[in-house]
Amino acid sequence: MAAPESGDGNNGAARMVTLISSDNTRFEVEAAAASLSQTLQLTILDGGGGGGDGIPLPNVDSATLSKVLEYCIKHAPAAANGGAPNATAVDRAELERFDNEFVNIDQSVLYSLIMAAHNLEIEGLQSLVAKKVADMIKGKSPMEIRRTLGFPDPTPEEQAEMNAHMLEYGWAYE
Amino acid sequence: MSTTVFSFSFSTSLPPTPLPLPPPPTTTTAVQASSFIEASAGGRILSERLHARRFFGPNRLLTKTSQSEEHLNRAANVANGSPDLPQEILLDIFAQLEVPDLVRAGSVCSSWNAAYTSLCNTGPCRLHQTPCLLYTSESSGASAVGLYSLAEKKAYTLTLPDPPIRSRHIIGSSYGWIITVDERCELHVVNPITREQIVLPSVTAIEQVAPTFDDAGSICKYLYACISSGEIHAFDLGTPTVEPKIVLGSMKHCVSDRIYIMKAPCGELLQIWRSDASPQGDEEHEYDSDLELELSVGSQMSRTSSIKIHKVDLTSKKLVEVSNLSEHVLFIGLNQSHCHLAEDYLQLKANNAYFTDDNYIDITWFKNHRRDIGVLYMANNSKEEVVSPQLWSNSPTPVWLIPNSRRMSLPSHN
Repeated sequence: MAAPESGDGNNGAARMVTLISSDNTRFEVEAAAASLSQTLQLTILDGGGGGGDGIPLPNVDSATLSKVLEYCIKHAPAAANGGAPNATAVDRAELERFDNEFVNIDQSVLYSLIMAAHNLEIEGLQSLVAKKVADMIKGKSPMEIRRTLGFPDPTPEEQAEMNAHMLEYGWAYE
Repeated sequence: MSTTVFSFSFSTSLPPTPLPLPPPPTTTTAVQASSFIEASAGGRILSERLHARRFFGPNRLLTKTSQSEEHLNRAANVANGSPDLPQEILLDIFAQLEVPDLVRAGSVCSSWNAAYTSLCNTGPCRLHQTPCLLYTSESSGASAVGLYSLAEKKAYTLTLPDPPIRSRHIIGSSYGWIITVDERCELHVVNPITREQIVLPSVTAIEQVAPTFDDAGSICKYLYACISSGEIHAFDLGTPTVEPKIVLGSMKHCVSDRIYIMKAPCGELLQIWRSDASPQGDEEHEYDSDLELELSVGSQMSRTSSIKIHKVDLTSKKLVEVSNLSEHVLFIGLNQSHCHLAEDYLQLKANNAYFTDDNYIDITWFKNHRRDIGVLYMANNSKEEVVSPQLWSNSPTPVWLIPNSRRMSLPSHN
């Protein structure tokens, strides 16, 4: 599984790149999977991340990066098919099942994942985590949302601001 | 720190774990928030999409003034103990919400309120906003409308600006706005969510309309007409003189069906014919007067019996009938007709047509009659209630509304 030294980016699926997390852990992953990140794609196309170099990701710790790469590896084949227009229903159902399970995680992990997906610009993961948070918000009152997401109790100023909004849109709080 | 190498490939289905690393220090708010600081500042730089290697180094992250300021601002938030998500991410999350959830999210905290406000001023609201049934009822008062959310199966009551909505006719709905006509034929468009209302130019401004005055000198009636046709006329709005072009000739001779035209999500043009069953026993029954008709409250004058779907083939200028909607749902009535993919809406059932009453004669002359509203399952032509018991008054007739929280910048809005 030696990474080719050539940096022309035309080595297909076999090409490997190395990503280095904020706590200095090195992850070797197929270029196609890492390229789901718009941010990394340019570097990888430029031939970066191969050999002993590695791409440092100072904003992503190893636990989060490992999770992110788990997503990328699972989704890379479908992405390689151009959004999988010819994917079978079974494949789609499998990805859906994976996605649902993937975001069934502790909130602190979810937060790190949101930030990582955003920084690395991984479109599918961005909308997956956004949807997860949206699902946590649905049908809840503002105070319930605060409690669900672990916000501290509102300050008097914040409470006044909340009340003003609730007064303007009273109908939504019945 | 020691360096570990992990190797992944497509053939590996196992997640890249376990990691011989210290556990992520994310159990306290302060630590969580501090990771946001770094990540968010980095995100700003990364989004410049320059060569990544030049920008991933930690030394570069906080060197710019703006980044330092961002850092300080976020540090202040940490002091308050509030784990703030950057606005961009909040917008991503809010874009997934139905309007009532969006409104509630808008009062969670200042930062969420800012995201809400920016979404209402500029943004698109949720791409797949589930239609709601907009109706009025005697019990909630003359100026209130009910909004029954199909997504939440829940009814909300909203107050609209004057004139009282129950004194107006609702004649259409599009992009979250309803169009109303009052007893003097004056037109308003109103967005129930933002409560914004625009008074359209008076009908007396139309050249062909000659107002008739009563003894007291106030306007009492207008003459107006309405025509319907199965033909499809295309208007090219990009040309200096907009003229209709008949792209499909008359397809049927019977004009009693109501005809709708809409675009399917795949871009195909659909023409829908909606037929009413004859009212039961109506042919034998002769009413002595309009009054008696008005009094027969509870009976239903017309009742949707079938909905036929056609694909419009503009090349061969033909209609091709299709037997069902497969994965789609239809919304028809006085609203702008819609055809959606059911899978985009959690609570909508595929191959169903959601209809409201738009039979002109019924809604104009038989205001007290039960409205023809329901859900028709195309596979076996069976009908279901939208919600039971019925929430709405029979007049003005309910319409489908796709809630829209976007504000117009109306100059005279107060």
